[in-house]
Amino acid sequence: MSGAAAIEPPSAEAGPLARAWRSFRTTAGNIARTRHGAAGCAILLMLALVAAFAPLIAPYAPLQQAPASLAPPSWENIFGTDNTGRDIFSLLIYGTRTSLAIGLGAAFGALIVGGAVGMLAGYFRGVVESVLMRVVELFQTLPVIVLVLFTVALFGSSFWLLLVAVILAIWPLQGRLVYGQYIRLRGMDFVAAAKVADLSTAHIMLREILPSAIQPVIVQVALDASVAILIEAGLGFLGLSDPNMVSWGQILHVAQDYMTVAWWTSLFPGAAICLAVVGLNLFADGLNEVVDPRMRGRLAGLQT
Amino acid sequence: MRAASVEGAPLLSVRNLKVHLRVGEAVVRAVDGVDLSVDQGESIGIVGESGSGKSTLARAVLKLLPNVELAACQGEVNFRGLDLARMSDPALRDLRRHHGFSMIFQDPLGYLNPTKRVGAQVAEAISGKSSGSIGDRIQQLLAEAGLPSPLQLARRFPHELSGGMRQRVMIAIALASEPALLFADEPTTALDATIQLQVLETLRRLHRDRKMAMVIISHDLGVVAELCSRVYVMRDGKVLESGDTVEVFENPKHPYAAQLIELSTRHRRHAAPVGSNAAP
Amino acid sequence: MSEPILQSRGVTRRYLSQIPSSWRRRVVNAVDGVDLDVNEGETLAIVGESGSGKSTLARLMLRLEQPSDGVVLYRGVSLTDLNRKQWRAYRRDIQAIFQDPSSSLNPRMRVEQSLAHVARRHELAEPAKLRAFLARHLASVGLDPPEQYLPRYPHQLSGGQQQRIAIARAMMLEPRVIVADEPLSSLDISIQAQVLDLMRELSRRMRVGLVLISHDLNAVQSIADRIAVMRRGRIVEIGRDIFDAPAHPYTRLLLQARLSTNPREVRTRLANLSGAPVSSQTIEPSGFQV
Repeated sequence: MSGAAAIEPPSAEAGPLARAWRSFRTTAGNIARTRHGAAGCAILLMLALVAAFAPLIAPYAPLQQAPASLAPPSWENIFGTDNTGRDIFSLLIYGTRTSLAIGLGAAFGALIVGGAVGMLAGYFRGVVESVLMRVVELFQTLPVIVLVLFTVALFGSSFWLLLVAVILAIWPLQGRLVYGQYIRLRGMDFVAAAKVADLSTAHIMLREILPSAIQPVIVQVALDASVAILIEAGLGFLGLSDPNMVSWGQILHVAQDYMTVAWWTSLFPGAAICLAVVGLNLFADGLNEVVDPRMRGRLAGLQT
Repeated sequence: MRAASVEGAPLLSVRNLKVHLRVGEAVVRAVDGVDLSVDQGESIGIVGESGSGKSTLARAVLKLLPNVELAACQGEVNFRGLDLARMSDPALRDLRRHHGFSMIFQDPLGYLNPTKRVGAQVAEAISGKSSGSIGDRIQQLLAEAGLPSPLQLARRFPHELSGGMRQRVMIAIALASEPALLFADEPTTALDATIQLQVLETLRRLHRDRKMAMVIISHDLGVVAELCSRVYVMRDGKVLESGDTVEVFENPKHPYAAQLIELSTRHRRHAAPVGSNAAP
Repeated sequence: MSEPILQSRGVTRRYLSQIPSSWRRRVVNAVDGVDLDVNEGETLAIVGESGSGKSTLARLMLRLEQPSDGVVLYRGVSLTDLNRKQWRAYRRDIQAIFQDPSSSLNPRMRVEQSLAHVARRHELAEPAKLRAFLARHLASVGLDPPEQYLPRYPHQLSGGQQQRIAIARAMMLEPRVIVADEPLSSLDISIQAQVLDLMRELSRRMRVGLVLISHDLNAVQSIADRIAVMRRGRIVEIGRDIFDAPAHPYTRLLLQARLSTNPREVRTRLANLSGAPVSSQTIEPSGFQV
């Protein structure tokens, strides 16, 4: 019997989750093979490990105050201390948790919100499209920072507030992207075939169209995460983040006043932010190369 | 450009052409040892289904294949006795612009610049000095390609024209260089039947009046029957049969050629073709 | 034959179309007041050139679009008035095959999944017997052994194979009518004949009606019981023998536009036109002579 029989049948039986996992593994492997992807993965992996094992890595508890305030980098404090004597290195390590949490959390939040809105607007068009796209535009023009300022002034800050704020700031882009994909794909013949076969609307949107729509969307998630980290850092820098929470932006906020006398208080947090953003962008590059429709690339236009 | 042409020697001669293309990680033998010749003023056809290599063959001769995809290209290609393979790019460009060869393609919409008026695009193809102004020359070419009111038409944009008219614009552009040889890759495939007839008639007229040689590439045997005196039948990069069109159509020697001809004949009935076993 | 299973009465589909290089828009009637009956068991062909509206009419019959005017009736009931049961029956009885099989099969789904979704939706087989069911239907369209096709993605198969799978998908539901919109145009000539044969055989054997939309008059002639000619959204002629005895000038025009594949006849024709032997293809006397 043909070799195909030996290889394939189990996979055809597997449920969607198993298939998604297998395809994830293949994609991850492919990403690691691209130069940018490999570099991005390495950085992200390192940051993830730092975040996960923070208590083990950080030499000091983050809020522990040592006698030496504004001490330059030394053996005791490799990145120096801030104005209240807290070890900057430890602060950065614990701050990784916050940044990654907000970065990834906001990126996925934007995916869910933007994805849902874009999907509905792009598939149904008409009135639904008009209304939803106006919502997208509304949020695109919203001055998030001003809103956050108001909210913090009224209710105080918290991790969740920041998370929501960042999601509100970044979801429109993802929404537009998904919207464009659905508009493109809804007219394809396989969607028409699914309608003629009386498959449900939910099935068509989620099982038929979504797999074809997802490629650029995934890349956008990685990019969104990097933007989220930057926004969070900005909000923290402005003093809007939760004072009980350690974040890179907050370190910068404190460091503002001492920039000229204690360069280490702003350089290292800044470098950490850069590292995370660059890592995510490199990862997105690798992802982009992998999810490109390579299959059709070469012979597509060439007819013999 | 002086060509060392010998009386009776073919205008275009291709010997043992091989074109291997890179597709992903594999290498495809798109053209696998093809011999072909076109005499001055002759009209030949190359027929084949998709994957036969007919389009690749034409593009290889005209050096239109992008280098990244080319794994290998060997063989002799002589135009008027000049070896095209050894020609420098400027010399080749010169040949394309002056009394050499031109090509028209299947999809004029993809070929024409959507942001430029049609007349301007024809003007770009005109080279060298001509007797009379460029404007006159443009009109002359458009008229020769069978377009009505060339003066007004030259001011139109491609998307304002019908498919047949766009194809004629492409023909006009191809004629601008006064080619001795015109390649046409599926020139009427995208056109309605009624328009197709007219465009074919135009090509026939141009062939006759300009004594221009033509190479018609098509999967449609009807097109080749209309225009070509000799035909080559290709499959999988090889020429399976060639000869006088009437001869090949009436007495095909190769079973594949016979199958193609039988399937294309007018009242297509139910015949299960020669050699079909598993579903293709 | 009983009452027609599908009917269109005064069906019109309007579009607003942008006039190139102008601010104004223009109303285009892609389909313009079409009355048409589709009878069970018959093969009805709809021919026309681009812009004739034949594809739009197909989409209206499949309720992929809604008419601006007029009604499409399924078993005498307007598609807008069908109750749930009738709607399900409509979606089983009327199936479709599209022009480009590589895009009518979901490129991201294996063949088995694509077919299984449809089979499960309509409860065509118990889960345990699903595979065998699919294998049987693949075999009925000439795709055997099933292991070579079920686990594959569409792009791993040839155009002919893809179209056969699309046919299997439609036939699985045991429809009364299959609407086929240019099912052969994307296929190679040698494959077209085989797919056409398959469609003919299936329609005869399973008594499935066919609405064949095509611009290829030859293919249509060999399979159709009735032929309708469309032009600019209207049916200009319809009947059983219109190709043998065309009444409408447009029909005659279409028939004349067919290219002969007889080069000898072409040469005779050209010679007669110019009144002199035409050695049009070579100028050397050594070339052939008509």
